[in-house]
Amino acid sequence: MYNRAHKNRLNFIFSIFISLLVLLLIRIAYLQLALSHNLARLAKKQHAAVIELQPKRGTIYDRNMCPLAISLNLDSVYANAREIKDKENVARMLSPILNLSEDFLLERLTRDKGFIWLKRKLTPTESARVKALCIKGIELVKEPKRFYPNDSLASHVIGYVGMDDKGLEGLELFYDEYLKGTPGYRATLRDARRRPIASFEYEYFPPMDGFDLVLTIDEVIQHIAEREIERAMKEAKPIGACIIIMDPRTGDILALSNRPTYGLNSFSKEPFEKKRNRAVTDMFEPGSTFKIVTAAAALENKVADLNDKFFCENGEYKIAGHILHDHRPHGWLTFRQVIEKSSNIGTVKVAQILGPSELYKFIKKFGFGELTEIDLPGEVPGFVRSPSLWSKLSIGAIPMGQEITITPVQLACAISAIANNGNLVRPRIVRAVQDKRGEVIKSFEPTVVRGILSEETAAMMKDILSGVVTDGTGRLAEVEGYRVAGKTGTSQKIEPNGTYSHSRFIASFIGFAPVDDPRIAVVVILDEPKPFYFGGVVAAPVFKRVTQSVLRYLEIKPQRLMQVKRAIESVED
Amino acid sequence: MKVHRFLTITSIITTVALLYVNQQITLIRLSYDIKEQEKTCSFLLDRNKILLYNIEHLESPHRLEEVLLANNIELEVPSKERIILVSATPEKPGTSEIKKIARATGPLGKVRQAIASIFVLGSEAQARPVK
Repeated sequence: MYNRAHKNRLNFIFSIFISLLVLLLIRIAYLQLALSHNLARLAKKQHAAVIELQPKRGTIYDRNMCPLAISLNLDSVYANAREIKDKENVARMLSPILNLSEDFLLERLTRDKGFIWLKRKLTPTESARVKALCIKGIELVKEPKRFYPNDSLASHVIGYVGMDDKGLEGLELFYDEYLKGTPGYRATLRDARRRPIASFEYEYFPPMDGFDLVLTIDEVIQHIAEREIERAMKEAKPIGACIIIMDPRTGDILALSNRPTYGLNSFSKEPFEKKRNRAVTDMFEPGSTFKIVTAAAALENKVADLNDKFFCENGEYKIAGHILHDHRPHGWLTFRQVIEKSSNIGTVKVAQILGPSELYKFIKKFGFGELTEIDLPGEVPGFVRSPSLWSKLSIGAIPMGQEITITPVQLACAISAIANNGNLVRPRIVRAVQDKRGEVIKSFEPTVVRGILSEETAAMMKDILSGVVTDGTGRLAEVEGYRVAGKTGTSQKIEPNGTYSHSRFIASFIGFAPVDDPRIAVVVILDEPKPFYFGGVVAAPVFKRVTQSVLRYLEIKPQRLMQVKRAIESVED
Repeated sequence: MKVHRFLTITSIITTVALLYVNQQITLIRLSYDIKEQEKTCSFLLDRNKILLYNIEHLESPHRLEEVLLANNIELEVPSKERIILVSATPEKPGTSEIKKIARATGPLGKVRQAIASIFVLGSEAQARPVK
């Protein structure tokens, strides 16, 4: 009896264990066969980590390798909301440090997420204060941020990047592909605390840092342009201004400055209006500065000689039913004097002899109406109509810079072509793309687009334009000790009703120096200067100050002093 | 005999297993050390970059000019009367002869040149402002 009961109990217990074992085996089989794939994937996800390695964005240097834009690593703070217990208290503690409202932080912390940005790219002080709090669930991660040591210097050229390090404006946008680099990754195992273990790394693809840009801009010359444009803004009170300084031999843009401007380190706070690069995006009627094209075309076609005389109708000339005026009445003037004194009537008479098609041919030869292909985003070609679309009045307007729109950079190229013995060069703002070791990846050589004038014509134009400064409308541009050449311009702006304004003008001055061996070509544009608005009065002095400072910086000896020295030497010999 | 063999094999396996575990622990420890060093290196590099940025910022032409203005340093360009243009220093005939000999005779010539230069005074131009 006892034995049977004992046996039954044993059998019962044994059967229970056997059943459990069978269940266990079924479970094991289920886990191993049915769920194995998913579980292995989950385990791999937990143990293995693929870490993306961000490349460093390339640096932008000026022509003397002074950095104009660099990337620095800053801390960004994020929250793992699931790990934070007292969310209200955390929001209260972080609010004064991060300078964010408590409500904003609390809203973020109450989200059921493992990763929520609280603030990106903190200042070192903010970062240190957050670290000192040692809050569980509040983590810091490094992110690159773009910094500009000179802040607003050449801001329209350099441009800026967004929060994700992508170029949004200027060269940062134009050369984003070169600057941004290629991300890499590291595949490794990690420990229970999710820390990667370097020795268990099983795949590594290094990031390729972005290439550096070497510009043609010279930091000091750019500063001179910025200083003088700022002074012009105070003195002439224009609503906008632009200065371009170019090496006429190579097309190197040494400085490009616009007003209004903005600080690159705080670009997000600035209105879009200030960020426009007027040198390439704004079209305007050039006015008398455009007479250089008419004069060059006339000389090249030999329809006028320097000493040919033109009657300037004492200031009133009827053309296509309209009366054309000079700003001051003139009688007989030589061709040289027509340009020196900026006579509209004289210029139009020369253009009438030249004819519309020849004038148009030279306008196109000088590069107006087409892109200069400068490496800056947003360039516009300007507006030039073909002679078939000209009205009868056009021959009385286009030769003196009306009915045509151009950009400041086109004007810089045009004056450079005259300085460069008649060769039109492509404007260059980037000299080279190089890697971190200084190896040149891509270089941009000076490019002559085409020859537009013969050397003789260019020499005659230089002579006429130096006369503008010594005897003509550009006397205020004269630089002591140097022979400079230039042309003044004053153009009327167009009112919304389509008529020319009598109160809003664009004053300009274009020129180069020294005349015998031009090293710089300068364009000065002032938009609506007040109360004086003549280019020769407001823009010429800016040209003078810029040229004087730049020539001194470039250590170009005063020519007249050199002439005296040569004379003394010849006497001694 | 069988027990002895069993114990030997067990101890060998245990030792190998312990060595393996120790190796893995060392690897992990080294990984942490490497990570720590990398962190320090990256911190120092970042710090270095920030300092270089600060130098660039402090040396920016705009700031330098502001400092000069703030300190009322009155710099001015010298007038024409205060500039004397000096031509490049001409070589004394004797000196150039010595150099020629030195070039022609190699290292021995350099010694001769050194001795000769003791007895030949180099000419030097000086520019002084006119008061």
